[in-house]
Amino acid sequence: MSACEEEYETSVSRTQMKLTFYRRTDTSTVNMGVSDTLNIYALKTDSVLGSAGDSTTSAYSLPLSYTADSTVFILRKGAKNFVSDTLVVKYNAWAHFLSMDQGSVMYYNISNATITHHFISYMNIISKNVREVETENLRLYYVAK
Amino acid sequence: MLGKLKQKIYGSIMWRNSLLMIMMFFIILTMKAQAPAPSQTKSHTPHKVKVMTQQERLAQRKAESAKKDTLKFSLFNGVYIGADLYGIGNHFLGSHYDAYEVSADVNLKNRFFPVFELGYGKTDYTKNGSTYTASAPYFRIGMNYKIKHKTKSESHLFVGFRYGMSKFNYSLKTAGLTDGIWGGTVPLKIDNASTTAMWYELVCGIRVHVYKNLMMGWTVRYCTRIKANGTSEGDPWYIPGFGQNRNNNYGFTYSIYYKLPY
Repeated sequence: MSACEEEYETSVSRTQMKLTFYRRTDTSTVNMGVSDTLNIYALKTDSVLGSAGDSTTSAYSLPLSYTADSTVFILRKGAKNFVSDTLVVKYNAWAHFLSMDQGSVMYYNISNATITHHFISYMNIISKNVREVETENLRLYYVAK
Repeated sequence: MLGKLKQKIYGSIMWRNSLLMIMMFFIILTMKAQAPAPSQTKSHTPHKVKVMTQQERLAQRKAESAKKDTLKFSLFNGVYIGADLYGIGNHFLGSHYDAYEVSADVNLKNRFFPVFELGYGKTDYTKNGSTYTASAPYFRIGMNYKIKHKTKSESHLFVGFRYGMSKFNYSLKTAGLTDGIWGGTVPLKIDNASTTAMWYELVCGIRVHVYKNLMMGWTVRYCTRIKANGTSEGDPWYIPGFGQNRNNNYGFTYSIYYKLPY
């Protein structure tokens, strides 16, 4: 038998962890997005992994290291007078084969996540699975002043 | 050198086109064999035309209808063995996987055809530095239903269903995943992972009497996967008898059949 299903799937790029920001105002209404410039850096690299200068960007897709068991991110809010928080994500990682057309990707299971609280109030782990189909993994809340 | 490359590509395309033409010839031959034979020319001896009354016409129609109703078939009407030709030809058309299969079915009451299909599927495919291999037998069991089963003709259209299964091992060799941001490489290899795949098919097709006990025909299949578990390193990419590991697939077989004398 031959299957007449020669649809070629496109290769999948690196799996990434999805981070979302929620902002609380004085009236307790939770809005998405950061009200100031936000840059996200990975420790031990010069890479800016996420950047936004407005309040409409609320979600960021961040890569995780393949070989380490944790990745550290620096979240910097503001330009000149900035304030930073450090996010540490610990996980189990393994390589996973998808298909001959899509190739292989890394899968992660987040075991723990911690963050400092200079401008971030608190954090929730929404989903521990980091897969090729992006779903919200970490939700960070901060209070707008 | 460019000239030799052009020659090689041209030769390969000509070879594939030739095989496609041969397969189309057999498909057209099968379709043409369905056409009814032209009726014999009757003698020109003039004869009287009998004019029937309405009552006589009604009586004739009743008699013809009764004749059709009495055309009954015994329970067992023969065994057919078949071999798929499309799987063999597909290999030369550059398919990533091969499948070879034979079948056996029984004619019951000229209406129901229980069928058993046995095949062997294999693949050894390399792409982007990764090599996937798998080979195993598979089987399908099911039933065909002859449309217009009141006719004695061996040529017929049919619909049916199948249940398929294959137990197989698959292997994957890759160069690993290299981290472009932090550096380092994670190896990825699957060594003879064992799994069992199950699926069901809805089929339709045609079988045409070609010559004496020989028949030819094609079958179109809509396959739905029931189960094909993998490992944490990866699921099987190819399932023998089913094709690529997806929720659904379309399949096609073109077979030659022989009716065993009984």
